[in-house]
Amino acid sequence: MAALGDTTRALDAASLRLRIVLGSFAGAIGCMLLVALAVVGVGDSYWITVAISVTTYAAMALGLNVVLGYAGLLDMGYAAFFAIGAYASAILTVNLEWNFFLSIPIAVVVTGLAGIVIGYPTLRLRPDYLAIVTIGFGEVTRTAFNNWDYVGASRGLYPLGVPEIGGLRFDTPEAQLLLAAVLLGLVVALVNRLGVSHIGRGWRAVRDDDFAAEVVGMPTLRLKLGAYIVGGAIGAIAGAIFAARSVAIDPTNFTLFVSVQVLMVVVLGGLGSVRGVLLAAAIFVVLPEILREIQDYRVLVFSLLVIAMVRVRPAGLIAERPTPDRAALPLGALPEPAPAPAATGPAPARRDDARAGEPLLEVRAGEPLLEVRGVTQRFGGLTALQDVTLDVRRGEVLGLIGPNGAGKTTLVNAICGVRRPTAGTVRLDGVDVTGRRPHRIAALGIARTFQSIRLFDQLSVIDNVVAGEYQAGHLGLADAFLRPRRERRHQGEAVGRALALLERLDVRDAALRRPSELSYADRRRVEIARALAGNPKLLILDEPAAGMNPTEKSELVELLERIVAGGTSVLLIEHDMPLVSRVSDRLAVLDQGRLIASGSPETVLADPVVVEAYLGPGAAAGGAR
Amino acid sequence: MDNLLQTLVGGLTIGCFYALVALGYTMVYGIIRLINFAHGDLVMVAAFAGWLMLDGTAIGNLPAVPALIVAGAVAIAVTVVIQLVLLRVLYRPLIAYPLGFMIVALSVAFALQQTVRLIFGASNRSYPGYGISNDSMEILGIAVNGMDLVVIGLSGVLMLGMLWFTQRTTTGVAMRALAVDHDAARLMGINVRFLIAIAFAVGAAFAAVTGVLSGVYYQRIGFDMGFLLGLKAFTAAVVGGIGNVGGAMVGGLLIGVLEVFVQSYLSGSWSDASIFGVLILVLYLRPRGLLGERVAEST
Repeated sequence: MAALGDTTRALDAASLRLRIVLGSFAGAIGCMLLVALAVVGVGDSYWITVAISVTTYAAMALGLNVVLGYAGLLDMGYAAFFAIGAYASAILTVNLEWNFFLSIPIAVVVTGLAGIVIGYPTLRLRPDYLAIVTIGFGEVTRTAFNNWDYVGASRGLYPLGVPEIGGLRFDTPEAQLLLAAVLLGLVVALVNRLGVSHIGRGWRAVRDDDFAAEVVGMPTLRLKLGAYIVGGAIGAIAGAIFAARSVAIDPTNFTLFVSVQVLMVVVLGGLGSVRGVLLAAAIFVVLPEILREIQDYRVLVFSLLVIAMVRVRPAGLIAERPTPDRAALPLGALPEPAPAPAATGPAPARRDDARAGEPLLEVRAGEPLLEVRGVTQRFGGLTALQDVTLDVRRGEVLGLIGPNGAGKTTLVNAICGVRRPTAGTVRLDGVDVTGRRPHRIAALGIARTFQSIRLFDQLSVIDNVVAGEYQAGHLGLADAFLRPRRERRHQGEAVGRALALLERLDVRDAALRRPSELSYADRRRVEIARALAGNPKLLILDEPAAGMNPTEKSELVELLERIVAGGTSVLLIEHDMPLVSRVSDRLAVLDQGRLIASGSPETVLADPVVVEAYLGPGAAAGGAR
Repeated sequence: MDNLLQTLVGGLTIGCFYALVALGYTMVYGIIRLINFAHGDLVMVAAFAGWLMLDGTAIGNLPAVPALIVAGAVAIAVTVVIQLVLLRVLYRPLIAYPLGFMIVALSVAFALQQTVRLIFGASNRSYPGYGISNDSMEILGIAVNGMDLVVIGLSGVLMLGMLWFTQRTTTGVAMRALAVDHDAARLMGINVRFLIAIAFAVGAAFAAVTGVLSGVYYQRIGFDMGFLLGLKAFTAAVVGGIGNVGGAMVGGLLIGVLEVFVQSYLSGSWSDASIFGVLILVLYLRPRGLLGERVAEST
């Protein structure tokens, strides 16, 4: 065993170099193959069988790692994917006499589709229901195979053919292990690549705070569905590995217990950590083989290990890499942020297509950008907003003030699509956005910060900012693993832009740290940077100055002026009157859900109705307007 | 027709088991919005605790009623203590970390099963039946088995008690308030920790009653009897409307009747799948359950 460890260490170093030379796919496959060769070299057919078992578990666990580890979705019926993959492959090879290798892509497609069928309806449900629904799907799937005569019902399918390609027959344990290693290498490469891609970042953001992810512009439902499809596809490859070395498959191979074991492997290894999951799969299979005495206690031992792990070391054996970017894009090598065009931040080039043909901003300055018309929001019997009508004009800062509970944040939620207003419309640039999903509205150009800062605490600061321009990349799942160059170039640019933004906000030094390590004011700055990353037309700031000291506040004022100079309009909710009247071109006042005044700061603040709303005891008089 | 009604009675009996376990799920979920996957296995632990009393001590020599009362009381005590220890040591620190909570609860479920398996073995143990099911009673023209009568009667009393508790007692009302808004409830002076403990403890007690009753009903118990029962009971709670005490009862009875009808008239092998099928269907068509859910909104 010691020899094996040494070899693994040596191979790790070799594979690192190999990866640089050959790229992640060849590297990962080669790495797995070399490990497999080492096991074959030992020559003990017993350990070869054990190693094949490790690859099966590892492949399944990596698939579940995408769903549970990356995207944070508690899937407790993962064996269903494994079953569908294995059966699809077996049906094609046994019943239709296809070549095993041709059956794999079909199995992958079928299982990916199963991921859509299972995921699409369930992912709309509350996340905590997902666990029970996936258990249900797992059981329904197994029962279906158990009763389906075409696949031999409870007897299962047999004999499974021997995988064969170009005269090469994988009929010995050695050959099967090599085949399994190649397939596992493929899975490792796929999962690694997705992990460092923009989609990996999206998944982690969803896992961290899916509401914030949606509002920031991520299509969270589609991301979750993507995790299901990829997880399903990998389940199919695991199923194929299983089918390749088995004589038969039957429904007992795919019980709830299998799902639970795979879940344990992922939790022990570390959610989102590819290396951790591989290690945990090896331990899970090999440990009971070495310590025969614990065979009987296996489940008990691993249950207790999982409990201990969650309580003591929730990140798992090997914690997930803190920032995918640090590995993919060494920050030291990045050029200093170019003096951003007129300090307006992210080059507007990316939105050129959207803005092409529009007149220059100056020409249209003063025209309404955001039109809120008669927006009413009721919660049961409570009317939080009553017929609110206001405009944010191009190139202005509109200050929205009002006592606590006046409905300011409710109005922002109605604008951003968090809650569809009971009545009324919201238009951006003449386009009706009422009730659209938040990520769509974000993509159309409305960005916001939250009253209580909501950053993705499990992502680095730089990743938080890059997350803000998710939509701008126009990258899809295919880019993530088929066009690494495009993906990497885009990410490099995105990181560059994000750094420039952090520079503008004086938090560049924190780029690689976690948000939770920063001061309140710095976290607020990062949140503003994230909102600006999507290059919005309208920036909504919900009490940005709260908790800032006077120096920080005056820096905020400067920043706001630069943002507006860059062509972004601002809707500013703020309690700090001197600040808000200094930066705002106009003020709007909400009181008890009604707009009671709007106009230039001087006139509004002199308005007796406003004064009464703030200071007078009988604030209800505000409705008189 | 007689046959149909008889099947219905059998379904209601099993439904009572589901309803009692579902009550435990729904109370806990209503307050902390987390699924305690180990809840079903408490039924199993209680069944074994009761069996130890009946099989291993002099209590087994007593007549049926006192013997079962003592065994039930011991089972309740054991189960409640285990539940509260688990809550204190494992669950409470994880309430703010849902994924961790559910994974730990799942592991606890398997740890309980394996511990019992190691102590008592993997094969089923036989429970004294006291011949209760041999007597039957004519009700509305159908012969109702004595055991069905006992289960339905006792569960009915417990469920009515539960309704009374949540609707009429201060603790019950506080618990419902907690399910609506934690912060407001806390500000009103409600002791959240205490109420969470109450919900866990009452749930465990109901699970214990289910464990002993089902032992006497089936006259056998095994280390793996709880987990699937728990899953189906949770399904019942969701179908009825999670957090809703009445919903758990209605859901439990429905699931029980459905299971028995599928077993009798379609195929035994599809009964579990059909329950989960109904769950999936209900969640798509009526995600808040039949009677509506009562849980805290969260944003």
